[in-house]
Amino acid sequence: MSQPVINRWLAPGVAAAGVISGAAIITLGGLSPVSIGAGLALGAGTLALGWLTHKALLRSHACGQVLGRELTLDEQKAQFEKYLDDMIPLGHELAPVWARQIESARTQTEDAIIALTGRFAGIVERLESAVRASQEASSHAGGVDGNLSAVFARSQRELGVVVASLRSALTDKAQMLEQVTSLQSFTEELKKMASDVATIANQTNLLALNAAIEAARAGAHGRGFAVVADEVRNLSALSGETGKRIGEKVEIINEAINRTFTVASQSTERDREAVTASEQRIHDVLDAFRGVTDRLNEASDRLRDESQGIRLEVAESLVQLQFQDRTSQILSHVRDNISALSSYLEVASEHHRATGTLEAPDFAHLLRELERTYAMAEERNAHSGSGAHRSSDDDITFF
Amino acid sequence: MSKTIMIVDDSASLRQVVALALKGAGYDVIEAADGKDALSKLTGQKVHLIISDVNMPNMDGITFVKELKQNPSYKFTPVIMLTTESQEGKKAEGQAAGARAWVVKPFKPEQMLAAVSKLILP
Repeated sequence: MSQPVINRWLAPGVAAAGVISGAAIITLGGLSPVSIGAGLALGAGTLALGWLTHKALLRSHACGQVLGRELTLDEQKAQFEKYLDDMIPLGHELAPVWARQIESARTQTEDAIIALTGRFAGIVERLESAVRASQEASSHAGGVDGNLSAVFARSQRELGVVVASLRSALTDKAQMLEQVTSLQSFTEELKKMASDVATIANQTNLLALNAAIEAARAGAHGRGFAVVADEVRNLSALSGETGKRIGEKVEIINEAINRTFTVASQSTERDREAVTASEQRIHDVLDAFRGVTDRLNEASDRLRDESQGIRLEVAESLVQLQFQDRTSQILSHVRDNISALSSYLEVASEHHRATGTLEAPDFAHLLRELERTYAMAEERNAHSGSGAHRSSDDDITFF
Repeated sequence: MSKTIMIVDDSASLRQVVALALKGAGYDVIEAADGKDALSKLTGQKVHLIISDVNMPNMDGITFVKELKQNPSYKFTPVIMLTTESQEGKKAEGQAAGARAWVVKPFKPEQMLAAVSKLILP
């Protein structure tokens, strides 16, 4: 093969492969540090290789000029063989290093994303657990049959029953007082009746005295009647005494009733005031309790809503981490293609040794092999130069 | 009783993302790293649906579905392929193997859950 042919194939071929591969990595992998690093490394490396190839060929040409004559065929062949030998490290050392660096970047990203996903998943699960616990606490506060509002309503109802009982007791007491008041009128009647008894006894005594006088006038015939008159006088005196004692007892009872009435009235008034004060206090306590429960419910609702919002945000962020799976595949395809580069160089080298003809490695085939591995539309788009944007292939196909 | 779904994918992070979406919807989840791992875990285990990647080491998703359908216990278990592959030829391979749906990554959780609830066994 002539020198112009070598010049035409070798240097541009190597450089073009590098630029295409580097650009493909960057466009396929997006603007992530990994893809930019891998792309730049590959692009820069192969560009440098192309430049060195070009320089080697220029040196060969210059060497001829320095010697003042054209190089002989053997000299040119020896130079090409040396050049090919010098190319071996590209396949055996440089390309594997590129592949290992890409693989290292890929695995580092993958490990980090796995750890990150695990952390996020943990956060989402803990938030779900917290929201669930909050809901359960809210719906079971104060027992199985009600939340805080229900507890408040039940407390209000039960305290209302207590106040009603106290009011009812007050009403009963008032009725009892009326009964006691009515007793006072009976004691007045009793006093009048005792007075009447005393009056009757007095009159009976006068009557008996008259009867005794009349019996004395009757002489012996009135003696028996005088005895009766005396007994009647004794009885009237006794009745008068009894009437007087009844009056005294009635007075004592009347005073006792009056005292009882006064004490009971004062007690009832105090009870009424106490019930009214209790009612007001219960009302105040319930108001305060309602304020607390309302604030608690509000805070609990807000906490639950916020937790739910954060959970959704984190879950949505997790979905975005799916990019790792895609970039990992892209990097794997490029890594494998770079790894295959050495065998292509060896084939070209072996071919030259065997036949003495120099042919460029079949980079077109290597490129086709890379294309064959593509799984994503972005890879194919980037390969054809139509950009790495995602195509609208995210629909679900049902069979 | 909640239903069980198996996720077969060589990407651990992707498995976690899918598992999170499914667990959030109340499903139990079993994970497998590739087709071979999935078959080894499907030994009488009741599974109501399987979500599988296509490109995996050891055993790819298409081969896995083909082998799954040979097992009488899982012959009627619906399979959703979840993959970066979007070529019609690959989809046809999946359909021929016995898959019921083809979802291209990255997936939207709500779409995935809709597909799951449509296909999952009662």
